[in-house]
Amino acid sequence: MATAADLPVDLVEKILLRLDDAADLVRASAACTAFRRVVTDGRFLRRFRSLHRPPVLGLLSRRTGTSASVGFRFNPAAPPRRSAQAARAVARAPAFSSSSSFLPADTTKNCWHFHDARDGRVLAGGATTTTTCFSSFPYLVVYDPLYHKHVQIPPIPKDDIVAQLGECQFKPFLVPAAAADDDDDLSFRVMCNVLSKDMEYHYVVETFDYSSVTGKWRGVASLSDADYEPLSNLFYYMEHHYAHGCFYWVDSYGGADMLVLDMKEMKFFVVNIPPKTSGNRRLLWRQQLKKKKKTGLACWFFWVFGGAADQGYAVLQGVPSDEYKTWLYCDPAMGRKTNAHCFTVELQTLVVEQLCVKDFYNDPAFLFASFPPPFAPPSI
Amino acid sequence: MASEKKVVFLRSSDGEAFEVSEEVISAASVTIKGMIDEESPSRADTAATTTLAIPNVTAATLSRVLHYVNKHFDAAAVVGRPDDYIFCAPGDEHPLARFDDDFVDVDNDTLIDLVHAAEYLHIKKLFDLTCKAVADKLKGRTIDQIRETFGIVNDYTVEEEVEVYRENSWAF
Repeated sequence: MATAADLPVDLVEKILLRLDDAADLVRASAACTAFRRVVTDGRFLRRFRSLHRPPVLGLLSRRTGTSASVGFRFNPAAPPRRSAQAARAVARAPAFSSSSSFLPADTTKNCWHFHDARDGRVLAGGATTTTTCFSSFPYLVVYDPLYHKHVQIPPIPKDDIVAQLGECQFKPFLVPAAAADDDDDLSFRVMCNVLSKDMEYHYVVETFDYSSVTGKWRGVASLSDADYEPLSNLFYYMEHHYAHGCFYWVDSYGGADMLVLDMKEMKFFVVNIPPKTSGNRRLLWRQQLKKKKKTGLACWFFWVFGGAADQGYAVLQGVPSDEYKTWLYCDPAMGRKTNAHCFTVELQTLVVEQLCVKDFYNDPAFLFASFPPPFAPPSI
Repeated sequence: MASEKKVVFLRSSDGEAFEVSEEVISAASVTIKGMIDEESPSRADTAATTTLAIPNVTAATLSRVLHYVNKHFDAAAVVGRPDDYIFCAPGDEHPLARFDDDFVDVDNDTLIDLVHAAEYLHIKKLFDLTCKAVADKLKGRTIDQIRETFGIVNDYTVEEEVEVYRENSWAF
C-alpha cells in the first residue's frame, strides 16, 4: 500500500496543480518540506497561474486627499466570498495603508488620475492642475501595489504625433497580459490614444504603443473623424474594455456606436450596436439578480468597471432598498454617505457573487484580481 | 477469425491474471497498447492469447482499473465515439460523472494506488480523475488534517515552521 508521503515529486506536483485556491496550496505546502519545495518552485507557480484564474481580491479606487497622501482606496472582498481571507492579507500591504502614498514625492503634481488597473498593475497619471490632467502628457507611472514599486513611463516624443493642430489630449491604458503576448512576468505594454486635429481641421485619434522591453513608444494606428464623425465625443466620454483580442470604446452615455481596435491588425473600426441587444443583456442580468432576492436591492447600476470584462466579470453596484431614499436625496456636500453593495457577475455562467460594501462614489473603481504573494511575482 | 474479439491477459504484480478485450485496453492505455504492438508480429497467426506482465500494479488495483476502463469503453460504444466526445448540453451531467464520483470514493491508500497505476499504464482520463480526487481531499483542510489524512510526517524544524507560518499567516 502506498501513502501520499511516498509519492514521487512529479506526482505531488500534478496533484497540487489541481488545487484552485491558493490558501489550500499554502496549507498543503506547510505539511512537509517536500510539498513546500514543490509549491515554491518558480516553474510550478507559473503553471499554477496559467491553469487557474486569479481570485478577485477587491476593488481599487483612488483615495483623495492632500497631494502627499494620494493613494489607493482598497475595498477587500468580504466573506462569504472564498477569496476574503487572501483579500484581508493583501489589504494590509503598505500600498493600502492610509498614511502612505504610492507616488514619487513630487509636490508639483497635485492632480492624479487612475487610468487603468489590470494584471496586478495600476496606471496612474499626475498633472499640475485638474485642467491639464489630459491636455498634456501626464507624469505617467505604472505601479505594482502588492510589491509597492513603480516605474515611470516616458512621454510620447512630440515629433511622432502627426496631427498636431491645437491641443493634444492623451488617454493612456494598459494592454492586458493576454494580449501582450509574452511570457515574461515583468514586462508590460501601455497604449495611449492621442486626440488632436490635422491640417484640414479633422479630429484624429492616433494610438501609440509603449513596450517596457524596448522602453520606446511607437505609433500603431489612427482614425480620423472624416471616417467616423462622432470621434471626438467618443474620445471624451468613452470607457475602454478589452475582450477577445480587441479594445472596445463604448459611449458611456448610451450611444449606439462602439469603436473597436483590433490588436492583431492594429486597425480601428466602428460597430453599430442594435439598441435592443444591450437591453436584452441587461434583462438577463436582472433575472439572475432577482433569483438572489435576499440581496434586497432596489436600484441597480449596470456598471462594468474598467478592466473587469477581460478578467471574466462584470461588476455591479447597487443601493439597498431601505437606503434608497437617503441615496436619492443625499448630498455629498452635507457629508451624507450611502453604502453601495458591489457584486461580480461571472460573464460565462452569469453567477452573481457578493464582493464588498463600499461608500458610494462616482470615482472609477477597478476590479483587483491577483493571487496573493508569494503566488504572484512582482509585475514590474 | 476476424469477427472474433481478441482478448489479452494482464498479470498483476501478485500473480493474478485478468482477461480484457484487446480493443478496449489498447484504446485506454498507451502503455499496454505499446506492449501489444511489440508482441504482435510474433503472434499474428497463432491462436494463443497473450499474457502481459504488469509488475507495478496489484490485483486489487488492476481489477478496479479494468472496471473503469470497461465502463468508459462501453459508454463510448453506445454513441459510437470516444467518451471524450459524448455530447453534453451545458449544465447537463456527463453520463459517467456519477460513476466517476463513486469510483474515486475510496480510502486514501486505494486512491494513491490508483494514481500510480493510472500513471504507469498511461490512462490519461483516469490519471486526471484520481489526481483531482486527491486534490479534493486537501481542500479546506487544516495542516494537521492534511498530515493525518496522508500519513505525512512533519519534517520541518521549529524555526522553519515558524517562518512558513509567518510568511503565509493569512492562509491559516
